[in-house]
Amino acid sequence: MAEVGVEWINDFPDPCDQNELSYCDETSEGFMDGMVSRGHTNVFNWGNANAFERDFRDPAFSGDDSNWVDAVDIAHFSSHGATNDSNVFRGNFGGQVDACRWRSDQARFGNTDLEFLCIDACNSLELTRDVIAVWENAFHGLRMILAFTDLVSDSWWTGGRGYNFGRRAGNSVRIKTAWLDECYSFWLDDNPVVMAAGRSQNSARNRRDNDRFGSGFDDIPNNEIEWFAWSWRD
Amino acid sequence: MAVKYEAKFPRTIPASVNVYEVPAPAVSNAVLTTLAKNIGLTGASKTYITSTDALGYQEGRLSFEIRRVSGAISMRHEDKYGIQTEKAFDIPDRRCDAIARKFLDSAKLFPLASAKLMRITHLHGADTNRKERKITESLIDAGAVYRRLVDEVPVIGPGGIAMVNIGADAKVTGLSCLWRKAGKRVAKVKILPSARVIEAFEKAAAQFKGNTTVIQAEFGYFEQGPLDRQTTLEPAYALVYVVRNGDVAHKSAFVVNAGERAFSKLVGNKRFAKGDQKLRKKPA
Repeated sequence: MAEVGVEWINDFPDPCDQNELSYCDETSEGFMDGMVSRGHTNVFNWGNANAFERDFRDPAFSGDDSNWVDAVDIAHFSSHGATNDSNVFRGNFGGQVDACRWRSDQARFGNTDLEFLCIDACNSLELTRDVIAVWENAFHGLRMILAFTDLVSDSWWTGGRGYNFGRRAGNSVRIKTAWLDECYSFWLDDNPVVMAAGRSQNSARNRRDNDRFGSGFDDIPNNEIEWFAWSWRD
Repeated sequence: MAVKYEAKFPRTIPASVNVYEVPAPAVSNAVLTTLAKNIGLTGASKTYITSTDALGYQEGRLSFEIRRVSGAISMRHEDKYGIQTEKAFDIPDRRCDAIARKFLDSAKLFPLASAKLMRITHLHGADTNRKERKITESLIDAGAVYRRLVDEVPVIGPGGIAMVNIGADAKVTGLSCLWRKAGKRVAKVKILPSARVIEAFEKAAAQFKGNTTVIQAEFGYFEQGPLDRQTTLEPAYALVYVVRNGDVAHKSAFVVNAGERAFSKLVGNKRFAKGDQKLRKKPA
């Protein structure tokens, strides 16, 4: 059974001021409910000011992810986000312990445990940027990033995507299929993306298309990754 | 800050429309086995899957599911759906539409005359060697998206939609369909002027920090998503908008009843949120 952690932020008071969001709790806690309904384990659920940027930052950068995000099998983050033209993704937090935003260039996932990272935030796997430059150094045993290109909706009508993904991923449906099916919205033009790492082209494609809980794929150290493969619908 | 409009409501909006009752969905093994038979299977497999939120049926490599609350139906080919093959997908849109229509006609989930092709979407695959960074991109499938019409009025929202997936071998590999039955007519309602919606939206948008842009403006019958029980099919206005505040942006929707009389809420309570948390201790 997989261990699951979620962090979500709707409220962004000073000094991390942003427009408030409304359904990040619905998305992340729904994902948790979906996974738990299929027998997986709730390890942590931190929302608003309880969600800390250091939970996503590697100890190599004085972070604490090895006790939180990198200590579970699958983590789900729902908040504001953006990838800048320097190819760094930043995810927004509602309270400042050390910083208001976590950065993809300070992420090293899987060197403790994390296998799948879900980022329910805008521009998180942004196809108009260099997705390899943004994320290649985050894969240290991490098998897949599940995220969005362009903007993703914060609304009641699409807030169930977390639960819908969690119930299927938790049922050992292919992770890619579950994410792309459940997070795609024709109506609101939400475009989910998945990205996997591999030792070869075939390995990266195979992992992207077929990985799931219990698949038997191993964790690949960063220095053995030769290829990345990704997929999206539009 | 003034709201910028990249989209406007349709010029012709009917003066009034019917409101229909939506009966509870038929959710049974028979619904799934009938669908299986309609598309050429036997319907005689003994593999059923029951859970609190769905019923499933499997025959050969095809899996079917129906959601209990909404009646949303899906079908997936376990070996083909979403899987990149050696053969690149190169089927023209017109042929995809023909394949999808033939499939929907045989599936008999809804009258084909009530469906309008919106777009042929595609599942894309890409990969690159980490050192050379030369990206290879290809299409994996087509997803033909059909929108529902009720009395010639479009249906908007997360429901009232069907997608048929077609693989590189021109075979149907998947189906997602949420198309609730329209029951008896319960009323005819006059449609409110769209200016009232704009006024209400701009009042709400005045609270946003940054620039607000409306990117879609729609009128139609509103159909809810797969997690929701819907009791009436009634008209709504929907605005989809983007708010940009520095380098951070977000997208949302503003949906309101369009009829002079509203029969049900278009926005429900949160389904999963657990409420406020006890304050977590900050690290020293």
